[in-house]
Formats: sequence, structure tokens, C-alpha cells
Amino acid sequence: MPWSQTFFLKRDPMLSLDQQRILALDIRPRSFAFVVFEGPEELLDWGARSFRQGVNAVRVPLGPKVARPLDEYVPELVLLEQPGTRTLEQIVEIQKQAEIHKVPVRLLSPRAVRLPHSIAYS
Amino acid sequence: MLRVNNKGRFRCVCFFSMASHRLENYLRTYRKKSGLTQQEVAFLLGRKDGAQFSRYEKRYGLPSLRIALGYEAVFKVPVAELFAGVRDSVDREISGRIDKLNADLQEKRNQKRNRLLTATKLSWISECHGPKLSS
Repeated sequence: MPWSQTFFLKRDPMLSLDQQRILALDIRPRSFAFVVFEGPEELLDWGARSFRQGVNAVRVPLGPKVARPLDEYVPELVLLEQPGTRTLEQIVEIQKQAEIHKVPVRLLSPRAVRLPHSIAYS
Repeated sequence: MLRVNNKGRFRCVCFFSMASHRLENYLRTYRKKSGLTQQEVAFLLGRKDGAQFSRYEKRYGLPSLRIALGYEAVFKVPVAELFAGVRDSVDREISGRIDKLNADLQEKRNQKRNRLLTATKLSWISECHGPKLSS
């Protein structure tokens, strides 16, 4: 059984693996990347968006850009890495959007992000 | 969180979930996996403009049967899988109506008129849609 499924089943054996959608975001100070999964194996969508400020500011700010995948894919969970000092503001905005869409947000420490990887491939 | 395994496929750790429905369609997923642009898909389906296909991907409308079959031919994925959410919702609706029809036929079962025809219908329902509670 794949390691990700093992982890999932420990949490709730009643849930269908294939139907859960997760939006994972990698936040940078002026952009973010997103990945949408359905179940542990199925990659639905991915991409990167910029929300830079200043002279070359984009027209659509961070909030609506994050809201789009939330609207389109209606995920059960948003996964984020714990913010550093440079991304704190962006994380707060994303949490606000997730709250509007009634989607829980889970913050993971950088160590936790790397941990399953080391278990799986060690 | 997000990983690429040794076969080059993405995987994720699933931390939390509630039962959810499938998306109405998976057109964008299959298109992106193929690497094609909307314009190229439009070309393959015999249209000049990719704008309408963008709307389908955003689930603002359903394509015609001809376009849906075109998607199947392009991606080599059955229509029922491409439009999984639509299929699920149609299945649910039909299942509900089958139950109702079955109940109606059960009531007519002992009527003298069309008894044989009613029995045939009930047998077909049982065969194609599984035995119903009321039968």
C-alpha cells in the first residue's frame, strides 16, 4: 500500500481516497504556485500566479487569484507551509479567502513537509 | 506535502477530508496532462476559437454531444469519465426514477391487464438495475 494511503487510512478509514480534493500552495513573497489533487494519486491542476506590487503590479491581487482554484475545485483542505517573515502577509490573505470558502487550512512546518518524503524513500 | 515519486509522478499526503462529489468535468486536467493548449484542442475539434472550450473547462456550460465525443476521441478517455460529475448526477436522478417506476409497476403487478408486460418490465429492471427492495 502506498505510504500516503497508509497515512490517510490511519486518520479515517471510512473516507473514500478517490474523492478528496486538496489544494496545496507554495507561497513566495511575490507569487505562489498551486497544485490540486484528487485522492493521493490524481493530479488535477497546477500552475503559478504572480501578485507583484510596485511599478509592475499585476491587476488582480492575491485574494481573487487564490479564490479562483478554491471556486473551481472546491477542495476539502488547503495545505500551506508555515510562513516565514516574508510571506506572513500573504498567508493571512489566503486564510481569509479559505475562511470565506469554508475550507480549512492546514499549516505544515518545513520539517513536516519533508518528513513523509524521507519515510517514503528512505 | 507534495512529492514526485521515483516514477516521476506527483503524490500527496492526505491529511483531512469530507465526502465530496466529483467535479462536473475533468477537461482541464486531461488537456493539461496532454500538454495541449485550448487553441490546439479547439483546432482538433474543428473549431477556430478556444474561448468556448475555456468556458467548458470552467464548467460554465456543457458542450454538445458532438464536442463531448470529440473530447473522448482526442484524449482517449470515455465521456463518462471526462464528465464524471455530470454522469454521477444523471445516475442519481435515473436511479431515483427507476425506484419510482419499480414501485408503480409493483402496484400494477397483480392487475389482470398487461400482467405479462408488467412482469417483463420488472424483470428487466431487476436484471439491469439490480433487485429493488420492493420487488
